[in-house]
Formats: sequence, C-alpha cells, structure tokens
Amino acid sequence: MCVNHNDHPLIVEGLNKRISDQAIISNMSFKLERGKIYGFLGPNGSGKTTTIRMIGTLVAADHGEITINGYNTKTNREKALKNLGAIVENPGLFEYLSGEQNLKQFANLGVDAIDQSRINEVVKLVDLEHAIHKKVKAYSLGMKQRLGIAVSILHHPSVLILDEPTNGLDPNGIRQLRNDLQKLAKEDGVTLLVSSHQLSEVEILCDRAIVIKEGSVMGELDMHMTGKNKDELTVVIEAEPKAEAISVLSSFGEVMDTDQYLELTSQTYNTLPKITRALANANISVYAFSYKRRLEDAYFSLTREKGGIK
Amino acid sequence: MNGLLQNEWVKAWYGRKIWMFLIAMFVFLILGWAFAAVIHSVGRFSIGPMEFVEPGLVSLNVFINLYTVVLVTTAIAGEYGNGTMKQQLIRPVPREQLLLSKWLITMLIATALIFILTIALLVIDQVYFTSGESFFAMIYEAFILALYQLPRLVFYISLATLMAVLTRSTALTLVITFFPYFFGNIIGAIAMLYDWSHWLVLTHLDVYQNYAGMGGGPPFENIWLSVGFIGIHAVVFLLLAHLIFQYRDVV
Repeated sequence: MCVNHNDHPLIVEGLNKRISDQAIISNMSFKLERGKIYGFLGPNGSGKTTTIRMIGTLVAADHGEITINGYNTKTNREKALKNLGAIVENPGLFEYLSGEQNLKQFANLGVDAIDQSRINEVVKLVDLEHAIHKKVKAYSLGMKQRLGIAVSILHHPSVLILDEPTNGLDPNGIRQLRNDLQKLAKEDGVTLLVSSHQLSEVEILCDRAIVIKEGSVMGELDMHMTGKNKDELTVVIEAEPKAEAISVLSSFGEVMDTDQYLELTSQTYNTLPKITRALANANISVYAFSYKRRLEDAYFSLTREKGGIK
Repeated sequence: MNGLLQNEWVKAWYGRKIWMFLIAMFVFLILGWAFAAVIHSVGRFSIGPMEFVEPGLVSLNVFINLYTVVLVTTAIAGEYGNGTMKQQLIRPVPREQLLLSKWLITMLIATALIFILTIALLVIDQVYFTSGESFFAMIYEAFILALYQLPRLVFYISLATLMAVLTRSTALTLVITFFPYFFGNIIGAIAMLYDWSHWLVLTHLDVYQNYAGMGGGPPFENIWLSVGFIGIHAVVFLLLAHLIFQYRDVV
C-alpha cells in the first residue's frame, strides 16, 4: 500500500493476531485521512477493541504494520505513541486525584514538556473548568469521559482513538462529547477513530465509517450524502396486491420480497416521490412506506446480519 | 524519567494508606517507648546503649516491609486492575522506565522510612535511656543496624514487583510475597537439616541475625557473599519483571 503519511496519520496494513489458536484479527488494513472522524463498527467480538489495543501497542500483532504519523509502532514505538491519544474501554483515571492532578500525571508521561497553559487549554476545551480541582471519584461518567479525552489530547496527538466513548452517557453527555470531538477534528485537525455500537451516533458524528467483521475490514462507508452514497437507500414498502406492486417496483430496481415487506434497494432520495406516484397510478394500496437509514442498511449488508426496519 | 519518579512520588503520598501507616508507626513507637520506660524505671532492668534502638528497629521494620510491599503491589497490580496502567502504557515513555520508576520510588520510601525510624528510636534512646553515652558512636552503630535491614527490603520489594507484573492481581501478589516473609524462618529451619540449605535465599534474608546477631551459623563465609546472593535474586526478579512487562499483551 503506497500512501502519503501526511494525508493519512494512521495506516494499518495486513494486521494479524491469533489468540489460543483462534484468528482474532485477519489481514486487517485501513487508513485514516487527516482531520476526519471515522466510526469503527462491527458486531461484538469482531476485533474492534483488539485492533485499538494493537494500535496503542498494548497488544502485539503477529504480522502486519501500524504507522502513526509515519512512525512504525514496532520499530519507533515512542515516536509513534507521541502522535497518538487513546481511551481503551475506560478513561483510566486516578480516582483519588483531582482532575488537574490527573492531567499533570499524564503530562509527565509525554516526551515534550507540557505546561500549565496547555493543561488550562484542554480543560477549557472539554468544559471542565468548574470541576477540575475536584477529585475524579466525584465526577459523573460523562465528566470522566471528557477528562479522559483531555488527558488523551494533552500532547497534541495527530490521532485520537476512543473505544465506545458514549457507553453509559446520558443524552446530554453524548451531545457534549460529540461537540467536543467535532471541535477537535475541525479546529485542531485531529483525526479520530471512534468505536461504537450506536449506528445513529456514528452517523451524526463521523465523516466515514470502517465496518469490520471477524477481524477483517468488510468495507468503508461515507456518511455524507454525496456522490455514490445518494444511491444507497433501501425503500421498504407494504403494499397490496403484492404481485402487482413487485411488477411496478421492478422498473425502479431490484425488489426483494420479505415475509411482510417489499424492499427496493439502491434508490436515491429524489426517487422516493416517483415510487409513491407509480404505485398510486397502478391503484396499489400502500400500507407502509419508509426507507432504511443508510448506515444501518450498509452496516447490516456488510456484516450480513438481518437489519430492522426504521 | 524525572516526570515518572515525580508521578510515583505523588501517588504514594495520596490516599489514606500512607497516613494510616505513619500514624500506626507513631503509635507503635510510643507504645514501645512507654513499655521500655516502665522496664527502665524498675531499675534492675535498665536499658543500655542501643537496647532500645535495636529491638525497636528489628520489630518495626516488619511493618515497613509489609507496607512497602503493599505500596509497590498497588503501584503495579492495582493499576492494572483500575485501568490506569493501560493509559500509562499507551504514552510515549519506555516501558522499562515506567516499571523502574515504581520500583525506585518504593525503594526510596522504604529506605527513608528505615532511616527516619532509626533516627526516631535514637532520639528517644538518647533523651530517655542512655543520655550519658556517646551520641556519635551510637549514630554510627544505628546507621549500620539500619543498613542490615536493607537487603531483605530489596528482596521482598523486587519479588513483589515480579509477582505484580506476572499475576496483575493485588491479592495474589500479596499472598505469594508474604508467604516466604512469614514462613521463611520455618522453611529455613527445616532446610538447615540439609547440606544445600545455604543455597536457599530465605536462609540469607535475616542478614543482621546471621552476621551480627545471635542467629545460628551464617549461611556463607561473610556478609558480602550473602548480600550479593540476595542481590542476584533481586536482579533476576527485576529482569524477569522487565521482560514480562515489556512483551506481555495487555488485554
């Protein structure tokens, strides 16, 4: 894979990992574009956390390379990690210390000196000025998550990896976290990889999503309604008589007959009124008409799991 | 490395356990002093030079050993347990420095505690029991006595470091480390029945009793061989701990 490290601060190439003779990660490769937010999606046990641990050098890969800002994590571990911030599973904070003491602890673990003004800056960014002198054990889950992010970006990393950051957060916490992350990508040019189970959250937050299954990348999706993505809607219809409805819908594309619904794949948003008009003109009774969310649809199609209907 | 040492120093002084330990040590010191004062006042059993310092240091050193083993265990296994170790390992610091800083700060605190205790015992001894004796001669003697305690501290702190890295469990580390600490004498006594007993490191750990006290025959010809033997064990423990810490996956 020939890539420019300036454009792609994180490159994962041919990663493999076996644990107890079982392949956990198989030939995984992907690269992240600078300043973009990536979702990292996959079913439970698909290898998301293992991949994140390998990027953070917590777990060694059997084969394959990880490059962070041009530095290989195997041969140049310290330089590579200088460009990485990560929260793996939980923020990993010292609960008996205050928020500021935690930041100072992690500031001391950097290569370059981190001064008080940088600490103040990240505290402001994650909106924790009011609680920074309190002990972390008194923090809410959302505040801990935000302090974890502050800790992870102290040293100006190019890549920030967050493993299930919205787990356990209330809607307000999720919104605040989302704002913080978008600010980081937009204002500081940080590239984010966010692993999550919440497809709707990924759809709102991310620019792109990497979908994995059984330790391999199944595909990469663009979250924006541009170009090819416009043709990725699946229309779900309940209509009678079914045979005539299939005949009408066939002129728009491939129709799948599930037990209750008819599914019309690869449609554009602009086609939706044309479909309803065609069904009405053919005197077909339409009882339900909706379309699947693009990410959910693509996710289930990539992971070959049966999806629900919105 | 300075930043890492500073971190471990800060963590060692936070929380209740250090203050509880210091208060307990202070109470034990006062109780020991009161007990000795009662004996001293009887007259027939007057406390002579170093007769307060020596038993005081030998007995209270047990608590310093126990506390510092708990301290290094918390700094390693405890941090694996609460997830902070993971966060430290994804920082751009060499892993060997991270582990070494935890061991060094524990050793520094252990050594400081031994010498602070020695000074406290000396002061009480001078003020209440042996004020007529040469203070400087006693300082030298007490200093040597304190040094005798260090090889055992190095051994157990290094053993706890290895066990904490290996098991990543606070409970298991403490059980495995304290077993030889509490049963070492019995094991050593049984081993004495065999010729090879002097190759058992447990028979060397009480350096003071072996070479300056009233213990049985010393296991080796001189104290330096014993100290070296303990030192080799500590180095092997630390090397193994380093290799495991360096290369084992953190899952």
